Amino acid sequence: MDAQTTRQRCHSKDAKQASTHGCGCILLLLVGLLFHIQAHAVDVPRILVLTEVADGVYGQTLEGLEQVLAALPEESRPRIVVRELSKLQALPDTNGYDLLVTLGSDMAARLMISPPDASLLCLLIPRLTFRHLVSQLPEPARERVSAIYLDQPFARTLHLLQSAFPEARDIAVPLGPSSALEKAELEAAASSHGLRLRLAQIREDENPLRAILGLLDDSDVVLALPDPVVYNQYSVQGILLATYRREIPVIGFSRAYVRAGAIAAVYTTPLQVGRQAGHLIRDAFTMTPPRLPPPRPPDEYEIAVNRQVTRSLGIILPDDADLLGQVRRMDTVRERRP
Amino acid sequence: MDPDRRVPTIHPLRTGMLLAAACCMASPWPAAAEHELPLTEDLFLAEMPVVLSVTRLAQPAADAPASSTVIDRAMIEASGARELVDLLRLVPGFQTGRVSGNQFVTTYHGLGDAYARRMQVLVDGRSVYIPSFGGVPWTDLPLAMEDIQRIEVIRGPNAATYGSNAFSGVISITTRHSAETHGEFLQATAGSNDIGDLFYRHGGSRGDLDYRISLGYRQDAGVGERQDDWRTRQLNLRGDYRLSDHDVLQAQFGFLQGPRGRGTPGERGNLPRDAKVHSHFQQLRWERSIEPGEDLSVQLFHTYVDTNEGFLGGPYFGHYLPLDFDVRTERWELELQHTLSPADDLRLVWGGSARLDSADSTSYLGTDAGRENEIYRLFGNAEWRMSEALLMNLGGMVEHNGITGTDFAPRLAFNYRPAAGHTLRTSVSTATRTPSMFEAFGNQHFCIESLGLCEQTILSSGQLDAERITAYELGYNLELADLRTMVDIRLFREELNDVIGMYFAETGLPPWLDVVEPGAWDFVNDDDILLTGIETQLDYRPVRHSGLRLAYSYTRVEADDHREKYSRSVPRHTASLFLFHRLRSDLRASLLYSFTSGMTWLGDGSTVEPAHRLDLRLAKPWRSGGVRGELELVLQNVLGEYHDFVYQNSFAPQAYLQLSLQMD
Repeated sequence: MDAQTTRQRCHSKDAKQASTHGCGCILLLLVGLLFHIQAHAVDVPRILVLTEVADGVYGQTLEGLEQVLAALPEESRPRIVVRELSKLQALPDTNGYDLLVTLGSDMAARLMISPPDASLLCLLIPRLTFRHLVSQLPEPARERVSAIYLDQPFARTLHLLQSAFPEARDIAVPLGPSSALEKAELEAAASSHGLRLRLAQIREDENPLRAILGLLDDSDVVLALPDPVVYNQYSVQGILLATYRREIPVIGFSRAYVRAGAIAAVYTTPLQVGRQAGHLIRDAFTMTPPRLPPPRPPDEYEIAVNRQVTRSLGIILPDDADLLGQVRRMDTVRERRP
Repeated sequence: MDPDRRVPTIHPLRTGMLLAAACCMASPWPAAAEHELPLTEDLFLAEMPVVLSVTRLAQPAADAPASSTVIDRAMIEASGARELVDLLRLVPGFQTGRVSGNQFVTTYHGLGDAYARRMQVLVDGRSVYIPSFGGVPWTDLPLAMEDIQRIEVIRGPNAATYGSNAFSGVISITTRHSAETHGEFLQATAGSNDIGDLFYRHGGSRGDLDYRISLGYRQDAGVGERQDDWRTRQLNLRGDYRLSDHDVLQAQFGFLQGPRGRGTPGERGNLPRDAKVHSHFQQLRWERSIEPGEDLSVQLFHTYVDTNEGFLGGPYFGHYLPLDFDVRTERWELELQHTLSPADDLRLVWGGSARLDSADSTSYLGTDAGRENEIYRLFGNAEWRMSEALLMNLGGMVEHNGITGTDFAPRLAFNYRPAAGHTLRTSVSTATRTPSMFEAFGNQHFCIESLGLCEQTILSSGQLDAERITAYELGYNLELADLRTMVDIRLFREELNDVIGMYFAETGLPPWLDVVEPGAWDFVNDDDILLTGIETQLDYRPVRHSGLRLAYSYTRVEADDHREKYSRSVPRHTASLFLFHRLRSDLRASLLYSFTSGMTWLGDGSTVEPAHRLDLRLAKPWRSGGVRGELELVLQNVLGEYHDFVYQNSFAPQAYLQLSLQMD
């Protein structure tokens, strides 16, 4: 691992504070040395990454981040400190860092209770959750906070839907308390793509399956939008079985959902989020003070298709590479339009 | 749904989903300070259990060891068909005949008479051909069209999976799961030819149980001027109960009853009468999913069909005789099936069943005691993915029954996929057909008790072997992804041996017991038939409610015709075209055209000329409040009359209007 990118686990103290220890010539030497190092360090951005755990999906995000930043020349490469923080532990002192990065919704929420002075970049957080957290912040603090959302923009999901089912017109969309908050945006996206939505609003204590069954008769495809009230370990099985029996394909929102039985999904891996964060940070630090761009959806994405289900339903889809290519093309065209 | 599931944990992949605590409509978000966010990255990144596992999924057409045709729910609705047999026109190589307005017959590659009996027909795994004559009493099945989810037809013998009667093919009908039919549904139909139907269905759930009850009344005036009007009342119950995460229990009950007009004026042995039919079934099925890829199912069912047709026949020698054609049949069956995947590239299905068939008919079996047959069957199939491109299916069935002893029917098939979207299929498949009770024990005589005179018309010597079929098939399945089209082509050579037919034989009875015409009809295995041909099916399905299905079959027959005119009973061409589309305004339109070359129906049938039939349907759904409605107009047989099954039957154009209402 690169000397400039240090990972320090829970108990290490701040390097700055270490410089005040010692005595005598050694102390002077050390001080001199450390001031020398610090003189360099002062120019190098310092980033504190806060996460509940550094393994699994959070570890992959870190990996992506480090990959991109490691490609930078040593002199300008930001110094990353990673802190694992369980729920019971207090937040560390965030002074002295130029940028704070949180991994996960809970960590972002914790930091936003009393927002720090430094800029904050939230990763691995859904769009709705981030927007809600930001809405609770006072105005000046909002400008310092940004994110790379985990979920795809509606247009991109609709591009996948249209690439897979170009003749589909009526889309069943079960909405829950969370996903309903974006209903207007969803309807706008759908109508600009020439699609008709059949919506069902599912309340928290309701069995989602009943509401969904009512939508299925006249729909070509079911579009699953992330909402834990609609899609959870109790409901996913019933929904997939019911839609399979009706021979209606489901467009999912994650690779796991496709493996469970949804026909296809666009998703972004934690590694891709990390990489995009790396680029974002690199670009942000070309300015002083570092300016984070506005919160944005992920740039990189992949497509998963459940071929067993497509063949079982007699649905014929182009192969993964072709589908991804089509979605990418549609995305680019979309972006070029004002 | 425990709101306290959030326990501090270091584990990164929290597989539990977070649920909102105290979430109300006014403020859907809890205060940020609570850290109870409803939507987190967990929903995107955590694992989900696989629901549609390999064993749950229907096998894709390209991997199946035989050619199959699927008619799904959307197609069933778009067809406007009022009778199930009319849907079978969509299957290449199938012929449908109307023996009368209330008796239908369907057969594959001809060779059919009024009791076409070389097909295995299953409803939810329950075998519905009747043990007495071997045919399928289509009009007496307690089964509502509105409850059917899917029909899958396998063209070619498939005893390895479906038992000995899967001789020419298998028709497998699946009804809709109870969870699919919640709410209230009402449907009323009225049309020409005295068509008047009413259907009501109620479905709901209580905890882990989903259930439905369907009630139906149907009637029409039959075909042409024949005395074949009929009425049916039927009741169906179904319950699907989730015993646990791994076990489901399915219970069904069906009942049907009604009069059917039979007979012909002037035929003294077949005078007009009302046959009264009572038919019911009970079925229990337990499915356990042991682990992904391993399933166990146990099924028990009982079917009962009772037809009472008594009338006063004659005059014979100046006497009128009470005649009847009463038949009562029953079937009990217990079946076990185990599916497992001992290795990644190997899938095994094996099982066994014990069945008791019984038939009671004094007029056909000559005895008050009835006849029984016990059938024991063991079957298995191994699906081995030998390589990325090559799939092998090896299976077989061993069956022992009281009529023909032990029979064995193996099957071997290879599916080769040289490139994506192209599958070549080659198979050798065999099946046997156990003679029906009537063929094995037929004994029909008429007596004038006062004169002590009898006439023997049918007497089976009982020395029968099973019919055998060996089918060689070369198939090609093509998937054109960009065009959403699938093409299936099948070249076949079907060798039928020991085909059972009737011949007039000496009975050895004393003359007063065989007074009118000495001798009676007996059954014998005496014919060999060779069927060769090519069949093709094209499916264009861009979305569920719009598509095109084209089917065509070309069949040549070679037979010695010892006992029946087999070589005339196979139509050279059968073709059908089905176009269905949902328009912008939600209006649905469809067209179903079928053509069958001239053919001769055997037994009571006759030669009929080539027949064209065109059905049209127009439907408009709407929604208002919580009610979904649909109004449809169906025109059947618009091209004009054609003669069906026998030259006296002319099937005329008819039309009906149907209104459906669904309340959730």
